[in-house]
Amino acid sequence: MKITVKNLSKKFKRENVLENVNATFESGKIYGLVGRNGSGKSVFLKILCGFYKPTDGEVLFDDVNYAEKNEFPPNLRALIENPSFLPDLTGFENLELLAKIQNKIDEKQILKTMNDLNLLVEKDKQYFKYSLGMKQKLGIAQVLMENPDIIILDEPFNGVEEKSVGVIKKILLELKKENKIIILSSHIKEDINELADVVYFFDNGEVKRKNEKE
Amino acid sequence: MKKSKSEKIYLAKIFNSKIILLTIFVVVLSLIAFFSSNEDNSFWINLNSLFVYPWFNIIYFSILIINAYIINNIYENNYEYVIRCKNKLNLNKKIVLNILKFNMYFILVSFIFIMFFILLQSHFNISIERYYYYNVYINIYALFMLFKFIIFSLLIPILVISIKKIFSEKITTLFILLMLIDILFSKSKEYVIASILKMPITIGGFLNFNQYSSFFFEIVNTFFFILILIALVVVLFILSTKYNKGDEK
Repeated sequence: MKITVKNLSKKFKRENVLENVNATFESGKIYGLVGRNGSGKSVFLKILCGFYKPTDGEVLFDDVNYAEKNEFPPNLRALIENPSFLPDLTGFENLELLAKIQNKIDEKQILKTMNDLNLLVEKDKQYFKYSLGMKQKLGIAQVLMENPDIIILDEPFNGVEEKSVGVIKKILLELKKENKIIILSSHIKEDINELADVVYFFDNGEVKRKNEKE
Repeated sequence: MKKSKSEKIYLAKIFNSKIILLTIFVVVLSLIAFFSSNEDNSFWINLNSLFVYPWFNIIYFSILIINAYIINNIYENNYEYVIRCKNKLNLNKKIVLNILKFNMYFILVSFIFIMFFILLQSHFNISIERYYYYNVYINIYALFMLFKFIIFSLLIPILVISIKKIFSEKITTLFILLMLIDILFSKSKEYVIASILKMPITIGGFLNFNQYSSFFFEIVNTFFFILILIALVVVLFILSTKYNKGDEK
């Protein structure tokens, strides 16, 4: 699997959020997007997911342009901004609801993912009673539970306690070995440097590829 | 795991979160219905008058449009949900179906209360007379008006949401304002409508009190107007899936 971003630009009214961005994402690698808040990282991720259409340029998933077909890329799951879970439902019920949309997995898989993220003890707690870190972990759980090929996480460690950050990092490194494409965004360089094979820096709408681990 | 159960829970949750809003609007509409009714008239006459009362129509359609906006935003901003829809057509279908379902709930609940309040103001006078202008019983005419009103209530919010998706927020607001102004200020035709060429061409004009050459002719006119409205809604819905500019607001 390969994602190719070609000459991508995005304008909101008169403001250029992204200008002529080129990037490639390949299986078995973790990619880090770094930049200050408002540098265009989230917009870029939303374009990859198909939520926004590029003003110019294209995003190809193995040569398929899903945006052109008004489709969302299959086998891609994402955590963008704050997850929109239903507050009165329990953590498990929220994941169950999302799982039922495509019916790809059963309860066992949901429980396993919750267990991996240390959420099993809190599975029957209502979402509004979750702490910020737990909410974030539930957001990550909905991304991982259906075993997607492409994983997009926007600021995944926000509000997550140190112990859980370690757990999430370990899971991501495991998934990398399973040949997934993992794209993370963060304004904290240290998190990205630790995990990412390739880092893209976002600044004033421009994107630069900075380093590659051996 | 059954898919339908998931949808039902979503619907129930959205419905629960809007229950206070719904209650306030039902109370406001019921009060308008109560105070705009004449206690000397029968229930059927008062009901007919309500359908052509501009302030009632303005508040009523505004509520339905707000409701549609809320539902559309709940779905469009729920990225976890959106990414699991195969394509934008599927997503838009779900949004439209849920707007129809919720507005239908709203219409049913509000009309139960509205009718009760009209009945109260009419001192439970449900006498059935002939309608002034046609050779038809007034309850038959009121049911026809109710049917026409419900069809409009379901189509207009979908029309507005499709415009919002295709064009900018400004154009949509302008469209809504023009429509509401049209409802408020358009006057009833002073002549008897006997030709299809003379039928009202705007939503406000159509919701107004107009006299046709016969009841059958009014039904035919209404049928054509609704058909045109449905065609417009379908075309805009298709375009909204292809040219969604919702993210460029």
